[in-house]
Amino acid sequence: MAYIKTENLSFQYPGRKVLNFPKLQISQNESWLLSGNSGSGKTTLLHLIAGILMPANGTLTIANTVINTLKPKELDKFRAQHIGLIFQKDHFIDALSMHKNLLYFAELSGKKADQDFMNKLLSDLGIDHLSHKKPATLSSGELQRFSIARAMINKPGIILADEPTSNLDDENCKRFTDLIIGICNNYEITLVVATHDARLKKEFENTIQLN
Amino acid sequence: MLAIVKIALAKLAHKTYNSALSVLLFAIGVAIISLIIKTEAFLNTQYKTNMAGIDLVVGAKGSPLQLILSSVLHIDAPTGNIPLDEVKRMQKNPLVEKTIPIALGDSHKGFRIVGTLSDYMQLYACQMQKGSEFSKPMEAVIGANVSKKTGLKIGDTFTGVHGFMEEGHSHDDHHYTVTGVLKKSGNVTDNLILTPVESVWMVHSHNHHEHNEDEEEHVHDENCKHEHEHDETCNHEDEHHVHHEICNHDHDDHEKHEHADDRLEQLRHKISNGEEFTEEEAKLFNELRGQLVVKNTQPSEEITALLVFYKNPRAAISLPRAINQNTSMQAASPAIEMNRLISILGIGLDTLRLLAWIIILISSINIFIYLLNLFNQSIYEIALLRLAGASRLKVVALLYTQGIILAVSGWLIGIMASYLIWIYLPQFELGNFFDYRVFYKELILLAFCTGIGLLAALIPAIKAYRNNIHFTLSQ
Repeated sequence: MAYIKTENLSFQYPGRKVLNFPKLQISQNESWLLSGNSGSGKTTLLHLIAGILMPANGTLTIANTVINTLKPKELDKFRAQHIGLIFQKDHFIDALSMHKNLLYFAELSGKKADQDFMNKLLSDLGIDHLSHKKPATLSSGELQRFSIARAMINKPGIILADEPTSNLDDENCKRFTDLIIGICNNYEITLVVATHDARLKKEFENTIQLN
Repeated sequence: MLAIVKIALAKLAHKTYNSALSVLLFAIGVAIISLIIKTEAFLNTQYKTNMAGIDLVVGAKGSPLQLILSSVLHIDAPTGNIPLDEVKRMQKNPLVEKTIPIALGDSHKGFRIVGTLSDYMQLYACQMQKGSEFSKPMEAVIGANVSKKTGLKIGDTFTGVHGFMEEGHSHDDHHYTVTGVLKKSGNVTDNLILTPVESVWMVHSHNHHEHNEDEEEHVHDENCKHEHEHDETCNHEDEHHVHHEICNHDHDDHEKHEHADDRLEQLRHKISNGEEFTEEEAKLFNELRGQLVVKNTQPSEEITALLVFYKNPRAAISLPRAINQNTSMQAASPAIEMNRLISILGIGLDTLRLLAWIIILISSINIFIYLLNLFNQSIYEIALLRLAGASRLKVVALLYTQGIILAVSGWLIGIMASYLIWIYLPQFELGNFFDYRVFYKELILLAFCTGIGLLAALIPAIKAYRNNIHFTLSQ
């Protein structure tokens, strides 16, 4: 049964042409690559799946919930509990240590942070020794791994990553891709990565091509 | 919600200098307003407790406000002294219920020695902490603060110095003995040394003699008949003593004076009936009045002021005028003078209050700019918080929390600073003064400050509420 399912999904930015998206049927624990040229609607589709944008038409179902019919507050809660997001920029709250960043991020979803899970996650990502540090003192590679940890902190069913490797060199790109695919497999999480980075194509079995 | 508060605190703490500056500016305004609130309440309380129902203060001519300040609140130099015989006449006035004399001039370690009656202690409902009231000259009852600051206790002796400063010419040959220590009462008696009026006369009588012997250039009234050398006495004027040349007259003059007294009464009667004087009568009136001032007055038997209590409200209309017009003394109403003082101070306090509100206005603009910058710098963080599950209202709450934290911290520090300043002001001791109405006003000030904090955060909060996550994350 599809974990993420879209039907007749479309979106329109004001004054621009309608973006129509292909039908998606993504099962649990699968890893998908969302590729296409700039302006093809990769980020838009990712934001539609995340519930950041509302579709003009069609339906979007995640874990048997039609999310485009949820009220804003319900959508916020649903997103926080089911979807983890990773972005090109690794933004964290400067004032907080990485540990507190993760902790408060978990608390904002309305759930109490699972400290054991967090410790194991950080250990699996190889960044447990850096959790007391503040964002400004970490490298981009380390921050990228903390981004994965933040996306996973609420044990989501899906991780959506938007151009996560565009700032990384080949070595770090390979390391990041292996890490995220591996960890999503281990934790049974569905992964959707939107990118125009050609280096990732060979890493994913499933690809959605947007034109 | 706790996470929002923690994040808000952490973000403000992260920008230490900016936050501290905003809070400090706010605190300065709050501290000034809080001090004004305390000062006003203190003045009102002091006014009520220290006036103690005194209807009129009679003293030497001069500033009426100075007379009240010196004789009731004990915070200014006296206007001078008044002769005892005039005082005695005052006491016999049918409009007068009661009088209490005040004789000032000396102090001990900055605390005023007040020659008076034990009625003075009853007036302020003083209670003895230790010992008993004075019963004879050169015994003294000291206020609670005097005991605390000077270390004087029952049975100790001390001497006074001229004037009200800590240092001055000392009356080393006249020792006061402490017979009692008063309980702290929060009024002027806490800072006074009370002794019979005769003590003050004894101390100064001796000094006058010494003074006369030393002063060769002393001027004598040629018309005076001197019985012996000690009758010839003059008051001297130094920092706190008014000089009147007072001479003793022998008993041959007694009849003459009695006649003068009667004639003066007739003339006074004319004044009270609104009849005009002839030139001769006016001259005679001044002459007779001058003679009566000195009649039968013993050297140094003067007091500084007389606290007067009316027998009935009618006295308030006629008595002050009669004293001011017909005697060498002046009568001042504590109520009128204190209202005058408070209104004078009020102008200053209002100006200060305006300045404080301007500071608070500037600091709230500063908080607004600070929060707006903070929002612009953390717009991506806010988008992430929204993705983490924070609702729009939670993000708005984050901005508002920051505004409130800055304003309330400013209030708290300002209030604490004002209490610290208040405690360390020599005249105003917190132990002496705590008024729940002050605290109530300070809580109202807190509500104002919170409102200002919310207002300063309004625009950043609206921007945060309208923040488009998609747009921000796509940047």
